This record gives sequence, C-alpha cells and structure tokens, in this order.
Amino acid sequence: MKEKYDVVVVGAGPAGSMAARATARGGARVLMLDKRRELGVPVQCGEALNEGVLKELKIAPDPRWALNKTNAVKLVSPSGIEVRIVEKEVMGKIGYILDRKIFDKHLAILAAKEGADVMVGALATGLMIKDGRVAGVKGVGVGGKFEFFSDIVIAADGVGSRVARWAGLNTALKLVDIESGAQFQMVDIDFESQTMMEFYFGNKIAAGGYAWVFPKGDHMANVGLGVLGGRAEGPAIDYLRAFVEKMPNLRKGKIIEINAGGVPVSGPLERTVKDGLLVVGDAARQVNALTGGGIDHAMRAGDIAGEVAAKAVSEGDTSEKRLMEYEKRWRELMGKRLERYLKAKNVLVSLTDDDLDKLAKALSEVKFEGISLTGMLRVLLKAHPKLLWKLRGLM
Amino acid sequence: MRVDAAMCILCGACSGVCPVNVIEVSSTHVNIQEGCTRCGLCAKVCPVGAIGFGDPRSKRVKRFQRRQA
Repeated sequence: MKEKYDVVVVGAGPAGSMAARATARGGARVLMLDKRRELGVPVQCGEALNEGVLKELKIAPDPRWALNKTNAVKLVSPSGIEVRIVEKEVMGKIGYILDRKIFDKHLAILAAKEGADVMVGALATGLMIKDGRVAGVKGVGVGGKFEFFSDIVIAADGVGSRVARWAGLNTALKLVDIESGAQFQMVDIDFESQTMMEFYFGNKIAAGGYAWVFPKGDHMANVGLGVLGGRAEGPAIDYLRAFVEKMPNLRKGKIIEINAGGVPVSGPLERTVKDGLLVVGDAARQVNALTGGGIDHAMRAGDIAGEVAAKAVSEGDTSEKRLMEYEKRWRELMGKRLERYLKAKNVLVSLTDDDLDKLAKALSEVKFEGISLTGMLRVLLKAHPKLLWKLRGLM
Repeated sequence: MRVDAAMCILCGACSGVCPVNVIEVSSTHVNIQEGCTRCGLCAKVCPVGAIGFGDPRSKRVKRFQRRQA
C-alpha cells in the first residue's frame, strides 16, 4: 500500500489521538497508525487522570471510561505512618480512575470523527527519508507492507520511542531514567475508601518508586508499583507479588488482569522537533517524573503538535524552524513544571526509609491549608531541619 | 538476548532503554534485530523478567538478573 498524507502519526495512545484530532481539525490530511490490533491494549498505566485536561481539551467524561472519581490521597511511609490529604488541599483537583481500554479507543474515535484516517495492526518499521529529511513512514501490518509519504511525521510511539531515533534524535533512556512498573487489577479486596488513592513508599516495597492502590469500583482496584531501573533487585512484578502478599486487605484478592510497562522519568527530550518530525507524549519523555503520570501532558502536547503540524502544512513550510512553534508552546505550558517534578523525584529517590518515615511523621502532625510542594517543604523543614540538606534540590 | 514469549507482556520498556535501537516490539512478539551488543539493559528493565542472556525461565538467569539489577 502506498499513499500520500500531509501528516502521519505513529501511535494511537492519548498523545497520538490528540495530535491526529488537532491535525484533522486544522484541515490537514492525516493518518494515525498503531501496531496494536486493539487500541488501549495492553494497558501500561495506573489509569489515574486529573479532570483538568479533559476540560481544557473539551472531552466530556463518560462513565464508560471514567470509572471512579477520587478526591483524597493517602501516603504511607515504610513503617506505616499515614498522611491523608483531602480534595480541597490537593488544589481542588478531582481525579478519575480510567479504563484505558475504553478511554484510548474513545480518543481515537474523536480523532477519526474529526476526519483523521486510522490504521490499526500497522507496525512502523522505519522512516522514509528524502533529501536528508523525514518524508514518511514504512511498515508492515495486517494488510502486508505499507509506505506512506507525508510532509510531517508525529512520533507518538510511547516509551519504546523508535521513530524519533530513526530520525536522528537520541531518545534512549538510561537505566536510572526509567521506572519499571507492574500492576494487577484486583477484585475482592478491601480498601479504606473508594474515593481515596493510596501510595506506599519504601525501598523494600518499591526501590526508587512507590506502590499504589487506585480504586476502580466496589472492592476493585489497580494495585501496582514502579521501581527505578538502576535500583531494583529483580523484576518489578516480584516486588508487586511481595507487596500484595504483605497487605492483609489485598492478599485474599483475585487478579483479573496483569499489566506492566516502563515509565520514562528522565525529564523531557532536549529537542522534540526536526525537519518534518514532531515528538509527543512518552516518546518525548513528557512525563511527571515524580508521579510517573503522563496522560495529561501527552494529551496537551499532542493537541499542540497537531495544531502546529496543520498550520505548517498549510503554509508549505515543515522545516524544523517552522515546527519549533510546537516546542516553544509545550515548554511554555509545562516545561517548568516538568523540571520541578524531576528535581522532586531526584530528591525523593535519594531518601532512605528512615528519612521517609521522618518526613511522614512531620507531615502527619500538621494540618495543611492547601498543599503545594513549597508549602509542604516549609512544614518539613521546621520539623526536621536535618532533612534540609537532602531536600535542598527543591528550593 | 532471549525473550520468552509466554512471559513477555509487550510493554516496550526494553525498546526504550536499548542504546542501539534494535528492539522491535510488535503486537505479538519482541524481535531483537541485528546489531544487538548484548549490553543486557533490556533484561534489567523488563518488569516481568522475560528477557535474559539465556532462557529467562531458568533459575540461573533469574539469579543473574537479580545480581545485575
């Protein structure tokens, strides 16, 4: 199969679908490819999302994929000290626990309805290069080999991120820059509240990461954890089995789904554009390095990328220089925040279990009026000045 | 490197750390293409321990992965 498009998007996750939707809306001919024969599968995600991004991108929450609303957070230290934060204090943010299998399909449908072509079961195996610049995508799929020429390729191929590398951008993650995650969807378990997201810290529980329990419904939750590549002693799934075994409220549960995946926590790429190429989402490492959350950043960046791509096509200039508008805009929108999260992550992974316990103790004794990173730190420093040195990176 | 298809969950973490970009993750399997330098990063990052220098199911490889990690 050979055909010409204005824009080809590789990957139909949240970043890709938002990019394809915005490209189509901008009037360009766009094709979105995905190697998977069923979008949203396999799930590689804790499935938590803030409602803010849905409002911004005008996507109405639908109970088919927004399974559960959360408004509280519980943080648990290695020795079991609990810190609770409720909605008003989490900056008024409400979270959804998603069903990514439905959510991802829904976003792809939005792109298709806007006019994007979609091709599933289509694995990209390389880029077409013409006169030294990106000129399309080749691959193999359910229908055999294909070649699609395009003025712009949007790389939304997730943590694996091969497309950008074919174009000469080095996206390879160091071992210390990736969280290795495993998750069970469990039923028949107990937890404190269906509206509370639980986080468990400790180097024995999840070396250089954390474990989570995200309620999905009645006695049902995503139970998962991430371990830092350079830290873990063994595969993430072994840590997860040990965590579940340790928790009396989870041990008796049944596992109805196993998920796994890698989360880039390197901070975003230095450069996310080239002549004829834009990189978005996990592929661009646009991830909150502290929490590992990436859906919202991916969707926002994808939306910007699509808008810029359509404009560039209509102007007949798809050079790196023209496409820099994308890089400028996403950095303005989230660059500083992502940097701050990265610093906070680096501090967090430097803490010993003893530090974490002290931190939790200090936090548990204080009643917060609105929580922010700096506010939290102020409290901590008063209580434990010795932690100051370790936390200095956050100042 | 050997990938055990029964253990692999097709997440693509291996591809993300591969310094020479030779790991292709399709919708059904992981294909390690020509050019692999046997650096072993993929084995260390695999969340389910499905990649090894030998048979990923063997105890010996598991022990090695734990030591290496």
